[in-house]
Amino acid sequence: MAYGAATPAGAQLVQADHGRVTPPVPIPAIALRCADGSATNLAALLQGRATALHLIFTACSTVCPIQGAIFARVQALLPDQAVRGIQLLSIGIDPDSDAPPSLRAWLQRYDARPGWTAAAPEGKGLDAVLGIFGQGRNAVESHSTQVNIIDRKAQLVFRTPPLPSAEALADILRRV
Amino acid sequence: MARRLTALALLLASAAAVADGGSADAPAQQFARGRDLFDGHADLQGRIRTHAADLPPQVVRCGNCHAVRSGPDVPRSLAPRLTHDLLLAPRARRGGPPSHYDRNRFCRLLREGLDPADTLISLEMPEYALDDAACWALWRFVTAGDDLAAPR
Repeated sequence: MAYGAATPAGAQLVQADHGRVTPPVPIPAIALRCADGSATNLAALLQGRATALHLIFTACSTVCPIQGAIFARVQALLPDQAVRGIQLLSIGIDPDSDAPPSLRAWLQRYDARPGWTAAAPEGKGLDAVLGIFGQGRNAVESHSTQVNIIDRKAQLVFRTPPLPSAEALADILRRV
Repeated sequence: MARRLTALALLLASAAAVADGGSADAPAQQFARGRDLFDGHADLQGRIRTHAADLPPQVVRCGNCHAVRSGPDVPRSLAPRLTHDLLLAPRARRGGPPSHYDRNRFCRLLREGLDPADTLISLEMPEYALDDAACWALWRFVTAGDDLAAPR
């Protein structure tokens, strides 16, 4: 499970499976456009909070609604999310559909409360996002459904199995 | 005498319906219920097999992922289009001998995630808590010919 295993194409670094990421992987400053239209970068967004990050695309009717429902249930399970400094982050990976209005609609669809943010990478940031979180599944339609857990120092420390339960996710986040 | 014959005919028709579709519902009723379940006009109860809780009905609709017969595509879905041929024609799965769905195998797939080759299918496909009537209605809907599948 060592970070750094090459994809068949040898082009990107991926985590081979799920579980603890050893050593933790610092997340770089990838340019993002948030659902509210503001510009930021991923490292800054992650700093100081425990984060659960998943990849979605807003025009997706298949597995993404399940991913959204899981995050919605995590929020229900963590009423003290803000006090604990926990955030949920949906990253849109489809440049054609994941503009801020679509990201806002995504959050509204699941009654997202403060502490659940959506954003999309800008420019070549998409390649960087997929390189770190994509598990070698770079086609939008077959994107990874694992959830990435990032610590308060903006380091990737854990990857869940695909489509983790909200209960498992909440438990992990309480311990980061 | 005529009344007795009519009663016998009704009894036989009912028995035939039970044998075919598994319920005394008329095929058209069964088809309509299956369509409602498929499209989400009636709720399904389903969860990911590794989860302890059900997902909201709107995210486990069959039609979120699957197109059916010659109906419209589900944009950007990798799930198979459900057709009479896909389900009923024998085909080798993962190198095994040819197998095909029947009503019971279809219901086992929906409830337990096992395909006709006894293999667990993708985790992304929810497992459903369905009674026989609901499952058989879905089976009738997805295996119907296009001539039966009039627009809603």
